[in-house]
Amino acid sequence: MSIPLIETHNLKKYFKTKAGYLHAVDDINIQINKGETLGIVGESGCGKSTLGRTVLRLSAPTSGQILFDGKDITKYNHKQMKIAKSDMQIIFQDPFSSLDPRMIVFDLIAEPIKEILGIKNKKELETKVFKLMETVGLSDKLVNVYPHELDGGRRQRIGIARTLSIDPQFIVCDEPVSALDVSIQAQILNLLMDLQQERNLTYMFITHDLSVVKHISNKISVMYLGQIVETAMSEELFSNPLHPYTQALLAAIPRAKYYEKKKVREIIRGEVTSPIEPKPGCRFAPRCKYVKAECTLADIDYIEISKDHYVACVLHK
Amino acid sequence: MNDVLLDIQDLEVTYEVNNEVIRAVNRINIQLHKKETLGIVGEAGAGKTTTALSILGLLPKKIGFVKNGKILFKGQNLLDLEHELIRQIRGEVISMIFQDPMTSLNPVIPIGKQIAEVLEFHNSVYQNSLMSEKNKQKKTKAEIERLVEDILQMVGISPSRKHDYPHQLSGGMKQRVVIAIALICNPELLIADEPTSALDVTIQAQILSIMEDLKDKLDTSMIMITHDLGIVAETCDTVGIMYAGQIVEFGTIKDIFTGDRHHPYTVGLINSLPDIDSNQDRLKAIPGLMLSPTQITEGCKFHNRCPKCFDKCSTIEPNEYVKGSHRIKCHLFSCTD
Repeated sequence: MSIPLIETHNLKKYFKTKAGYLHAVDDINIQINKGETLGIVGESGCGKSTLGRTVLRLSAPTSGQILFDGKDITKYNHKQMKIAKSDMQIIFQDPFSSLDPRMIVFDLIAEPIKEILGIKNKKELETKVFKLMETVGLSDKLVNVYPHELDGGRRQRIGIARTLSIDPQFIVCDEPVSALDVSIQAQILNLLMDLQQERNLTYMFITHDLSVVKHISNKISVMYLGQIVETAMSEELFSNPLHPYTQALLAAIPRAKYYEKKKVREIIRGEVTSPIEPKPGCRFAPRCKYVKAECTLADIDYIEISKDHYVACVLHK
Repeated sequence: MNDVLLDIQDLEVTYEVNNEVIRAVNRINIQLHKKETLGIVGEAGAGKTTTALSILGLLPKKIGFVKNGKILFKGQNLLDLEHELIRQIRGEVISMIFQDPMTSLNPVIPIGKQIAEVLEFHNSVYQNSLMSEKNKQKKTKAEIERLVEDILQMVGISPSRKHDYPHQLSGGMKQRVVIAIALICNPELLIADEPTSALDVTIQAQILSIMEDLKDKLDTSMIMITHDLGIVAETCDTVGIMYAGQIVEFGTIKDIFTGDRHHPYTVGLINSLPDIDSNQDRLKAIPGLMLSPTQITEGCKFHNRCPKCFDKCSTIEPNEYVKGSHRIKCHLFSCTD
């Protein structure tokens, strides 16, 4: 048995709005083993980024527990959390807005080393920064340039170098490649996978793109309106998707292949409903083609159907 | 063939800023037949949008210049037309859907009014030879109102929402409004610039179906600009793969996605896509970056990233290898036949 590095129990994050509480993250239970990757997939507004931020306590959870290495970090005070954060980091989606435009590459990468690790010695900083630049594949000629002089792929490499600089064990990757071109996207995904192997990193990989998450994840959870509707090992989820929403997501991805006849596109109706004070029952029900009366009566249990394959749907009991 | 709607010949576009010349489009040739959909695929900076903007005469003034070439629309060179005439064609004969539905609508005007605006503008003026017969009659206010309601219905928005403002709609709904605006005049050519990149996959599937349905219903030809080869495979008839301002490979969907003769860039692009139907572990990334369009390079623009690069690639620009509808701009093939 591998030990989970990070675990959540009934994690909730609600936001107060004029119309009532917005259930961004609603009763989420996840476990990520050391050295593994959990992919979180969902469409915009499903709460996947909020989940990532809440797990790191970048926003305070409404209720529930977050266990990091067996210890509940929701009870940590500011000082304890600061220490814990050196083990838990995040890579942001947009490499254009997550880097300070007035800092050169050297300072950007050195900043977390100075601030969090407290290393101020110039020589030591230099060795560390150049080592990191090499690790993420940035030429050392770029050490004095500003972020605006670089393309998206290189900027994202800076973001990764910053994250790695303090040697975390757990990294939340929040859509790290969605702002990049396909050929560059593949370079960054490969880099993230190499780093994971070298350093035994644990990832929570958040994305809206199922095809990206397949390569990098051991396990994948599909989110819809604040809840996880299905979790399975990566292979299993793609070969045997059980929840109608997962099936619809898979069917909606355009495949880059030649078809003799034009493919008939399967379309799910409607759009995501509001996450403010949601009604009981399955949240996907209004768009689901298999919807039955019992779907909207009470909340659907999230149960283990086969080994490591969990789903919340009345079709599977 | 005689039913060529749009024929771009040797088009060359540059941007000139601060004494720097950016070669955005370098002598491209594209043909689009009536009722067909042409896909233009490429990464950021490949010149896809610039090509589209030059068709509509929308290149930024005093910065963007068409240096060479012709854009023949039904045999008439659009580049020769006067400014007034181009304005009449835009939106009426050729219209465009822009990438970002969040910024292409006016936030302070109700959506119904924004759609009607197009008709009112094209109502108030002139006739010209490129316009179709049905657009030449003047429309009354009531007729315009009815047309707006019809088109909203067609794109799947309840006509009762025509008084809504853009902020009251979701991203998918906004893109539907943008499509309605583009199609209200029954254009003969629709240029869609990354119409679904800002949308979620399930909404993307909805929007693509609406566009295909309407295109069939209205007999419109389409140019689909995208970076997503999957969308191309599912919606287009012919494809041009663009790299650094050039069309490196052009052909029917079948030419591009089957067979074994392809431009190395096309191969790289297809291989770097994560394929959800296979089980490979690592992605085959294309190494390196696209050359900056300000650099003057000799030879093939892709040679610095190409796995099959050989001696003359870096010095001599390749000619096109042509076989039927399939064209490849690469030295690997240009020596044969």
